[in-house]
Amino acid sequence: MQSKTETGKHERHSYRAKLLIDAWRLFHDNLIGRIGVCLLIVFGLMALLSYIPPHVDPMYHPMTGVDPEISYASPPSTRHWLGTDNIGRDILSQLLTGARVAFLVGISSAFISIVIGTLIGIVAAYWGKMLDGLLMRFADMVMVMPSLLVILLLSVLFGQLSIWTIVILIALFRWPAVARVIRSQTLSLKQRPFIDMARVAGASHLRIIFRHILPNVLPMALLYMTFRITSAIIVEAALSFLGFGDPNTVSWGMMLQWVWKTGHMFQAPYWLLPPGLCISFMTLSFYMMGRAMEEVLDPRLRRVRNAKHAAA
Amino acid sequence: MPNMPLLDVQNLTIVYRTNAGPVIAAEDVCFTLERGRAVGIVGESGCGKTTIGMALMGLLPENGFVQQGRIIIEDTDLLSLTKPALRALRWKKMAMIFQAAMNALNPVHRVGDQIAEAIQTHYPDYSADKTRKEVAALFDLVDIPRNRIDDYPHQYSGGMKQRAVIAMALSCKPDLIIADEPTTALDVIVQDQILKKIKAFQDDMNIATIVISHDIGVVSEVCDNIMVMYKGRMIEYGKCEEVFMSPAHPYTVALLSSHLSLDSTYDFQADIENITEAPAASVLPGACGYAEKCRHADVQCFVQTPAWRHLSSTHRVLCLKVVTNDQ
Amino acid sequence: MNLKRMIFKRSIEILVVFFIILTGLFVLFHLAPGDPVSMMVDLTMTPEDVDRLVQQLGLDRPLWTQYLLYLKNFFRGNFGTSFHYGRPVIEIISERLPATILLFTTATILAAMAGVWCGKLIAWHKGGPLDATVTIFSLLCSTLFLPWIALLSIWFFAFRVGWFPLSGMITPEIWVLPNLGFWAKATDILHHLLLPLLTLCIVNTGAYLLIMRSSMLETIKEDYIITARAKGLTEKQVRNHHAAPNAALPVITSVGLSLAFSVNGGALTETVFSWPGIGRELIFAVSNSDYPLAMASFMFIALVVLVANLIVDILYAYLDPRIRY
Ligand SMILES: Nc1ncnc2c1ncn2[C@@H]1O[C@H](COP(=O)(O)OP(=O)(O)O)[C@@H](O)[C@H]1O
Ligand code: SF4
Ligand SMILES: [Mg+2]
Repeated sequence: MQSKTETGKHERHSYRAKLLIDAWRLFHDNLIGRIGVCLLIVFGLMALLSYIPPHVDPMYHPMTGVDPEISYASPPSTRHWLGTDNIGRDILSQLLTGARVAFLVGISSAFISIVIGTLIGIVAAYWGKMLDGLLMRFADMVMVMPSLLVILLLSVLFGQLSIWTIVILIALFRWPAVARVIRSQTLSLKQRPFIDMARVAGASHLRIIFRHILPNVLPMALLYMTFRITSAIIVEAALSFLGFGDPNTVSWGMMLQWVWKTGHMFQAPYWLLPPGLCISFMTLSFYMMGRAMEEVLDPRLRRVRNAKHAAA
Repeated sequence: MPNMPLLDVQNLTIVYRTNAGPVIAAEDVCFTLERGRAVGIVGESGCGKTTIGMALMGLLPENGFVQQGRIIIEDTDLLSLTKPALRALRWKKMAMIFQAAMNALNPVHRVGDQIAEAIQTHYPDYSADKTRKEVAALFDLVDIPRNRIDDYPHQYSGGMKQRAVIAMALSCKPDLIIADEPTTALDVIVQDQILKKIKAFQDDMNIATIVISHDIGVVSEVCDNIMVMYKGRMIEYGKCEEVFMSPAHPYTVALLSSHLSLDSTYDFQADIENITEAPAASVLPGACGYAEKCRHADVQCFVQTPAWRHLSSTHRVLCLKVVTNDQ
Repeated sequence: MNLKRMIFKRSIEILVVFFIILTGLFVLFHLAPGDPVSMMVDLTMTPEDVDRLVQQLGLDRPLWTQYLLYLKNFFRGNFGTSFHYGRPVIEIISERLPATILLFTTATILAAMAGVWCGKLIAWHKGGPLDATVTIFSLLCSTLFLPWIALLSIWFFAFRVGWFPLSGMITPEIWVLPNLGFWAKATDILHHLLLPLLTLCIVNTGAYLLIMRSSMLETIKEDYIITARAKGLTEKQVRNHHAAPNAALPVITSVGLSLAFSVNGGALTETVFSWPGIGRELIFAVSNSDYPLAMASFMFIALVVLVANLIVDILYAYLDPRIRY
């Protein structure tokens, strides 16, 4: 008995491993996915490198470091590779720190929102009926809320928001789409015989959810995480751009705000271009990765598609 | 030329390009068909029936092409036509009732309009009024109440959709109608009605019909001749009575003995499996394609490709073991 | 007819949702740290003014009375006085709303139409170099950071090339001229409108185009497309008359789903271009802690989103007979 379940487990593991390898191969063949991953590696390096400049010289500190000899926006030079802002802070080191903040905001906020979304989706589908109706209505309502503006409103009511509050708030507005997808996946899983079998065998609800449903919906949740990362980065950047970011960190959105508010947008393209490019390309890279993952993760779709085509 | 057949298919071989290499979906298919007659194509799903039908319409999917052979309708060679010329022939010369009639109607257009569109494409000089009258007449013909002309497809029942598709196929008075699994998705009673309709038009309007089915029972009800296919090859061809009463090929015998039907419900999944298995290409060279499953197979069947043997002037079979009179 | 029932049902739903939003705002307002009286009261107010305001909002009464008064005030259009402008909030809102609706609707409609049209053409040439270029380009466009691209387009088209005005919705010097004709005014507004419109369209079209493209690729595998071909229709007829109307449906759904997102973008665009809309007003009010104006602006933006949602639903039902009948 013991050994039988062991082999079963073993088989399942090797099966999963094979799936992973297949998925990786597909992903590898996908041009868009490859571009996305390469871009992300670049941004990852930027985030890592962001720790270096302040150690080189305190004047390279992204927030507090001011070049003693420069007190105006200066174009790229050997001293400041990307130039300085209007009070003599180094743009490159701000840009590197911005990558760190963007990763932090994007990943943590996306993680929270997929946890919420997955839980709500599973609960709605698993218990169904009234609860399902209610939760989905609620999801619809949250979905039509312009998240940026709600967060702005909250910031006028509750005062300056810290970066972590912003992260959590973004997550609170970004779960409905995840919940919808996970719900429909769970609904179709519920039809499968192995769930019934588990139930007949006396498995508890929690066990069914965690052992049988969750592992199966996890890939989809992960896929959605990449899309949530994109939107979290954008919302944070927009907030900072409007001047409601956390004043203790520098982010790309904030850099754009400084260019704009200090009226340097017409004079200092070296200052205006980098942060916007970074935000755009970072969201692009996550988005590309998401699209590639979507293709990998949806083998059912792919098969039916081909079949339909063949039967035509 | 009264004796000339309407349709003459010669050595038709159709290949699909796939990621796993070329798949031969139909090989060396030959038959002729006169006006007002009907031929049935029978075989399990995946044997290449739809492929032949699509080739006759000039509608093979992008990855499919005719590798060899000729398709001659009246005196035009379909394969040599330009695209516009082929378009002009479609529906006017040959029309098709598609396998999945349930989805053959566009959900966002009214059923009547979709039929009118076919008429107006081929008779551009018809007035809107005249087209409308034609459509109404077609609805009468297939027994759909006229007040349903302006309904949308989703408001129709399965049987009505199927009849609407038949009306559409008849709309330009074609010489040839290809009915691909015309009754598969319908329940038995409706099936019977539809078959009777098809039979009636074939007789009344002198239309040549090709009925494709995996169900030899369906085909035997409406056809003069039957062609049995296996793995992309014709294996038996003859008059309906001949094939039905004295089947010669072991596969045909198996078909008939299994309740006269292969599978009672059409199995889309099976189609999918077949696609991944690419059955057509799996025929061993220099052997009978049916040898692995054949009850009468012996060593010879694995080393020799069978050639056509004639049991009568109209009945022929592709099997080494069949004893014919002329041997 | 089913359509009327659907509209009725959706309108009720929207009313309920709006009611919930109003309630949520009320709750938030009272959850916020600080005394509600001091939040609604401006430094410049006289004690009598303050008293009147406290009376009007019932700030000295129990919470549920305040809630009822709050609802009553909303339906009477009484949103208080803006701290910054010193004028009734409702006046400011009614000035700003048309500008927002003009920009928002034209941008949404244009982007959706352009996306559908290009996506349709691109899908038909699937696999070619044009397809690859346009797909990558749309991916790029749809992830561009909106305020940044707005700044860039101002810098380039307005500042460097000088084709468009730098900001605003009208040129005041022209509008003060006596007996200025309607067309002159319209042209002036259009001239100001084009650049923000272009910016919004660049970002939104890409997403709709990608959806239309993949939807089109799915649709052309449908059986009714083979039927249409078999009937002898030309490729163009098949594409435009049979494939496109079906393929456009998911695009409409996604327009509906991304309305909230577009409103965010709209507010950012308005702010960067100084377009005198309600989104800019909200951001402005938030920066100035002008609570009455901020709350009211938000309510109206929510209302715009909900109504736009309803319109999209109706449009969908209109285009898809399976819902209409
Ligand atoms: N578009 C396609 N691409 C590749 N193979 C195809 C395609 N369409 C059909 N086939 C293959 O051709 C064979 C015949 O298919 P089909 O003509 O649809 O069979 P039937 O109609 O008899 O069920 C099948 O094995 C199928 O796998
Ligand atoms: S040739 Fe041999 S294997 Fe083929 S059908 Fe005839 S008996 Fe069977
Ligand atoms: Mg078929």
